[in-house]
Amino acid sequence: MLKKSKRRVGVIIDMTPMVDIGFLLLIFYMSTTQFKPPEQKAVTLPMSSSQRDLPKKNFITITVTKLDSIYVDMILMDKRFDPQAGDSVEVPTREYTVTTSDEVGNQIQQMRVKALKQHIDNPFLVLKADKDAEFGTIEKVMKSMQNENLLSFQVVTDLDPAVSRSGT
Amino acid sequence: MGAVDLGAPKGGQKKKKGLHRPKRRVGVRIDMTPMVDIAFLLLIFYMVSTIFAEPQAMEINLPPKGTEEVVKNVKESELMTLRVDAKDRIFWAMGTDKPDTVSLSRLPQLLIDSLYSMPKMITVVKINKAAHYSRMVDVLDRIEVVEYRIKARQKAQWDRQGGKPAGEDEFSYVFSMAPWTRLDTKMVAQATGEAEAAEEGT
Repeated sequence: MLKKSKRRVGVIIDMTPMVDIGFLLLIFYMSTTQFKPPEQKAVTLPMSSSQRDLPKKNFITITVTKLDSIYVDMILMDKRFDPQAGDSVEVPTREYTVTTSDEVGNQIQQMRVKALKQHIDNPFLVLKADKDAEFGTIEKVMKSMQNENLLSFQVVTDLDPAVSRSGT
Repeated sequence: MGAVDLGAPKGGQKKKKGLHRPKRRVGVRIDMTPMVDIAFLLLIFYMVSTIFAEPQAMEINLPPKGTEEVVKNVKESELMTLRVDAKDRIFWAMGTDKPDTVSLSRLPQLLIDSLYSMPKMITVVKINKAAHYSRMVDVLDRIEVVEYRIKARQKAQWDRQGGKPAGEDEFSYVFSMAPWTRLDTKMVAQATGEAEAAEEGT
């Protein structure tokens, strides 16, 4: 016997639960995302073809702005009194000091002492200087670091796509 | 799929001259499912393929304090001096030759050629205090590029020879930075024929 051809039924799916889930997820992530403590000054980085990764944590940043003001900062745990919790809470904050090009070495050592108290041994040194900063200032900073025997540091740059490391 | 809802059919109507019948509005129901599908597909695609533009790092190692004097005992004929003047121009000079300008794009090839013709060459980088910091990064970056390229060539050669020959070390670019002096200002001014700028970052 010939089977009756299946009658095609129109299918209507109600999308409401899916939109609900979508918004719930969104709200969840909006409220639980924690941002890193903001940086002191935005700096225009110079470009280089270097492709090393920056250290992710435990590093001291030396920022030199276009107007040659210098900051030494590091993200450290800070005990704050939280009124809601009723007790002191440890919160990551950016400890920073403003300094001059001759005092940089000194300030870095002081920051290292603070870091050592939080069991961070030998943090990396990262130099973040504006590309239009005067070289003379950077020279003084490097000399100040040399005087304190802080010899190895990383320089932050943006990736320059025009320069290729391979070639001839 | 979408559906267009026509009202109940009426009897045929003739269009009378001079009288405009109001257009019959039809209900239109559009099924949004395909649009939501596309939106999620796009979202998943971009979530999976996005690479953030992270800032990169360049490593610099300073010599310990007190070793700057060692550079003086180098033969002048083996010394390549790279100078960056207050106007961010780059000059190169082998030994006591007259400095000549070079562009950033040609600098790697220049250094590679000089190194191949004189393997014992030592490079000294002198930057005027009034020059911009980005120039220092550019020059050091090009030096790293040269080191990278020569290492790659060396490795290819060793692979062809079937391994690293004993006694040969991996190439590493030897250079140092030295402070800018009045002499450098003079040499650059002579080379460009411009009058010396007084007190310009000397």
